[in-house]
Amino acid sequence: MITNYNFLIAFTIFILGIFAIITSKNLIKKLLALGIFQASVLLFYVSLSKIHFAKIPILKCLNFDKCPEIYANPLPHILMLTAIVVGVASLAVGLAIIIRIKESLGTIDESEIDNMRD
Amino acid sequence: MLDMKLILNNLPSIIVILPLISGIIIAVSVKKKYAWHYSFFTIVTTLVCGLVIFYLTQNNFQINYEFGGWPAPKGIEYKIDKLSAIILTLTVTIATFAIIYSKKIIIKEISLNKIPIFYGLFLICVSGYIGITVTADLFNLYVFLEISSLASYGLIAIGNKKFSSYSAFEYLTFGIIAATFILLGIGFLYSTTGALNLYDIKNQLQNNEFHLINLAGISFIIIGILLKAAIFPLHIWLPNVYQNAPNSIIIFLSAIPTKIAIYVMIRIIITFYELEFFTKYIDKLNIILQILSFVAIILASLVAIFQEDIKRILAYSTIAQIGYIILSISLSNNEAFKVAVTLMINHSITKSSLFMCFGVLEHNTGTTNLKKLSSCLLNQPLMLIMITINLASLFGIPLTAGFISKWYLIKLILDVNLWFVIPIIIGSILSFIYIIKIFEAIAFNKNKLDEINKFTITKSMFLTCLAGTSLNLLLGINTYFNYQLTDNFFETIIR
Repeated sequence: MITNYNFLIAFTIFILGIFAIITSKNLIKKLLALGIFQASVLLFYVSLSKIHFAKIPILKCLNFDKCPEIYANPLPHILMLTAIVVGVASLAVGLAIIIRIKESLGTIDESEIDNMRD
Repeated sequence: MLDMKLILNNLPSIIVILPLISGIIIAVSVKKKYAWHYSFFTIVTTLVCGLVIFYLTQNNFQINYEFGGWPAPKGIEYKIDKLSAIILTLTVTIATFAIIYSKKIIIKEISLNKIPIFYGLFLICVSGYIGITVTADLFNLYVFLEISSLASYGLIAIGNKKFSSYSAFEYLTFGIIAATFILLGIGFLYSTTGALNLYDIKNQLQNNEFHLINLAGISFIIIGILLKAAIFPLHIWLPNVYQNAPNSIIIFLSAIPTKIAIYVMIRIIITFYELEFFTKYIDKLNIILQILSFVAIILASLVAIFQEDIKRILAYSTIAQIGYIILSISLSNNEAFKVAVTLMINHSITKSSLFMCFGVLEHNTGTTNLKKLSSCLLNQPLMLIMITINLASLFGIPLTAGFISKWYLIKLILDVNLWFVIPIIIGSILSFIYIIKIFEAIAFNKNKLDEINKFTITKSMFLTCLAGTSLNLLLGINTYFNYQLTDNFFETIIR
C-alpha cells in the first residue's frame, strides 16, 4: 500500500470531490468541486502508466531490436488529454449556465432557489 | 462528381461527421433567416444515410469501418449490426421530427439572435448520439457521450422559462458525475486488459485473473449508466428538465438520451459477458434490479397522480416506463433483450408524439397546468383524437404501439415468475388514473368560461403530430418495425 500511494490519494480526492458537490450551497463552489472530482480520475489513469525502472517513452535509436529498453506507457496520458478537454468544456458550460441563473433568478445560492421553487 | 462507392464505403463516418460539422457552421456563420433551412437539409441527409445503413444491416450485411485505415487494436473501429442500426434510425427519425416541428415555434421559445446557436447545438447533440450507437471503442463512446450531454445542457438552458437554467444546472451536475463514474470504470477495465476496443476487452477478460478489479470496473460503468438513464433512485433530475425545457427540444430529449444509456448497458453486457450476466456473474444483482424496477413502477405512477403540470406527469410516467425496461433486462435471457428493445422503440415514439401534441396546446393557451386549462380542444377534433390515441398508447390499449410492448412484456414475465405481474398491473391501474386526469383537464374542464376562439396550428406542427401519431398506430397494427426487427438479434449481434 505504501508504494501504491497514488491510487490512495486519487480515491481520497474522489470522495472529497463528491462530498463537496453534495454539501456546497453556492453554485460556483459546486462547479469547482466537479472539477476536483474529475481531477481524481485523471490522477488514477496517469498513475496506471508507471512501470518500475522504466524510461521515458522516447525511442533511443530508430530500430527497436538494436537497443531494447523498457518504456513507460504513454497511452493513458493521451487519453487524459482528451478527458482534460472534456473537463474544461464542462466547466465553461457550467459557468455560462450560472450566469443565466443569476440573470433569471437573481441568486446563486442553492437553498434560496429551493425556497423560490415552492 | 459524386462517387457513390466512395460515399458507401465511408458511410459510418459520414453519418457522424456531417451533423457535427454542419452544426458548427450553422452556429457560427449563417443568417438567422436560413438557419432552419440549412439544419433541415442536414438532418434529412443524415436520415437518408441512416435509412441506407438500416437497409444494409437488415439484409445481414455487417458494416466494419476503420478510421484512417488503422487496423483494430491500434485504431478506432466502427461496427454496425442490427441493434445499432435500429437505435440509430430511431434517433435520426425523432431528430427530424423535432427540427420540422420547431420551424415557426422556435421564435416564441428562445430569443431571435440565439436561433442559429440552437440549431447548431441540436445537430451536435444528434451527432453525439449517432456516434454512441456506431462506435466499437470504449473511450470513443465516453467522448461521444460527453459531446451529446454537454450540447443538451446548453439546449435546456437556452429556454426562457424561469427555471430553465437551474434545471439545466442540476442535470449538468448529475450528468458529469455519471460520466466521470463511467470514465473511472473504463480505467479499471483498461488496467486489467490493456485494451480499449470492445472486442479486444472481451477476449482479454476471458483469460483474466483479476476478477475483483473487473467487477469494480463494470460496477462503476453500470452506476454511471443508471444515473444517465434515470433509473429509480437516481432519477431526480428528470422531472425538472421535462418541465422547463423548450418545447422543440423536449420532443427529442424525452425520447432519446435515456434509451441510448440503456442501449450502452445492453451493448456492454452482451459484448463482455454472456447473456445471463445479471443472474450468474454478480450474485443477486437481478434481484436488486427487480426490486428497484418494482418500486419505480409503483411509486412513480403514484407520484404522477398528484402532480399539477402535464409535463411533470409525463416525466414520472417516463420513469415508470424505464422501470419496465429494467425489469425486462434483469430477466436476462434472449427474449428479455428483445422485449427491452421493443419497449424502448415504442415508448420513444409515444412520448415524443405526446410532447408534440401538448406543445401545440401550450402554444395556444400558454400553460400546461391542469387547473388552468379550459376545454379548449372541444373545437379541435383532430388534435383531440391524436392526443387520445397517444394517451391510449401510454396505457396499453390495443391497436397502439404501447399495447404491443406491454403484451410481450407480460408474456415474458409469465414465463418466468407469476408474481411479478402484480406490480405491472398496479402500475397500469395507477397510470389509468393520471391519463384520465389529463384527458379531463383537456376535454371536460369548464373552469374558464371563455374558450379560445382562434386556435392556431402551424403546418409544420400539424404534420409532425400527424406523423408521430400515425407511426404509433402503424407500430401497433403491424409489428414488423418493432418486435420482428429483433428476430435475428443474437445471430447477428457481434460477439
